[in-house]
Amino acid sequence: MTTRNEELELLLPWYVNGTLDAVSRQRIDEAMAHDGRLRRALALAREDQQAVVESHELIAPPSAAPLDRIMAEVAATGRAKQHALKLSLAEAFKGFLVSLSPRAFAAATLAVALVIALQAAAIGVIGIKGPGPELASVDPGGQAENTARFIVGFAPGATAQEITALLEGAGLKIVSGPAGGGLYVVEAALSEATGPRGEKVLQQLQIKNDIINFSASAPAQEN
Amino acid sequence: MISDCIMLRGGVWEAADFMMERTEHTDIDGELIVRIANGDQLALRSLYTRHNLRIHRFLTRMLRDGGAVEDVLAEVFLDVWRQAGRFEGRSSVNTWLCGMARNKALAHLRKYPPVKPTGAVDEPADESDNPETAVQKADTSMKLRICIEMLGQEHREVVDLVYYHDKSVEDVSLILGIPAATVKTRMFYARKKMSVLLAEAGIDRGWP
Repeated sequence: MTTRNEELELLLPWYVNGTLDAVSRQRIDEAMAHDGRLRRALALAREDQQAVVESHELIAPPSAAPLDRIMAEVAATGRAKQHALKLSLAEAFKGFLVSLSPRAFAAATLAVALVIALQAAAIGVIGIKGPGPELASVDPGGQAENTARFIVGFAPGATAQEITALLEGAGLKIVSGPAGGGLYVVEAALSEATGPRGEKVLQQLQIKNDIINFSASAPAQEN
Repeated sequence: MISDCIMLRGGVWEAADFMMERTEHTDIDGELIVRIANGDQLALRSLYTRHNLRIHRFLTRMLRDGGAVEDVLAEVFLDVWRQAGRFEGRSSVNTWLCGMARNKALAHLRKYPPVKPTGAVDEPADESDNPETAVQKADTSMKLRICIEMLGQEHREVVDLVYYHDKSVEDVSLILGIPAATVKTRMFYARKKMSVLLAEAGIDRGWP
């Protein structure tokens, strides 16, 4: 046998299991045509493979225990993950609050209070039709036509003079407040200068973040 | 390419089915792994159903301890559940499973070293009522199986991976963590050792 065929002989097990590349397979086919030893080696490799397969087939399949254990542990892991997710969200929120500066914390508190106020206002708007109890923080006179209302919070460092100047400059008047979190409802008469829903007024308020630390459109009220 | 094993299994017409089956298995396994990575428990069950028998046999050949085999088998698939997102598809899912199974089996063997078997090749069982030549053939086949069992761990695992699990040189290299050239020589020496053991049992194969 040549050195080349010795090299090919090393590959016979993969020729037998069908994973050999086409080039190597062809080389073996060609060599076997005139190399009886290689043909004999191939026959033995097939014999070996047959014996190995038979040995494996004598092994009984596993019981149901492994799958039962796997699925039980996976189910338990799933529940633990959900619990961990809830904990991590709570921890993340706690961490977020701790990371805030006192000023930012105050703003965040204000935002939460605003959400609650908005929800209360929305509930009031949706749920109260006709005569009934009034929300304490809402102007009892109702909102005039062609006006827009905003909820604003004033920065702790803002002076009364600055606030008055800002409100007068924007054509705003306070209609109610302070509500929870120190929020006020202010109203502006709509005109071309304010935009159809007073959006330009809102922009003006948001720019003045040294005086106004929170501003948002208030939900429209029915009279 | 029509593999030799396909020819053994019945002919050319089986080749296409065999290759298609392999491709489909790869695609389905890949999809299952993606679903498992997304927390799909049903996909894990499906993957287990598809591979548990082969991985169980692979582990049984390594560990030879039924209880331990089932424990390690469960751990392999629990690792699949935990690590499916890390599967990069550089090998087939089955090769990935074999690699994980082997690592876990080796860890188990380090912790609980097996008792080494003693004794020579057993006498063949009498499978009478056959013509003499058939008896002789069965005799050789049984002796061959016993010789395979007597191979050392390194030789037996490469023989199993190639002849039973149909792994390519590259796959075996990945699973065992050795170079492809070493895979070829290790397989050669495993086969040579089998011939030596058979010769000791009175069967001269005339090879190598």
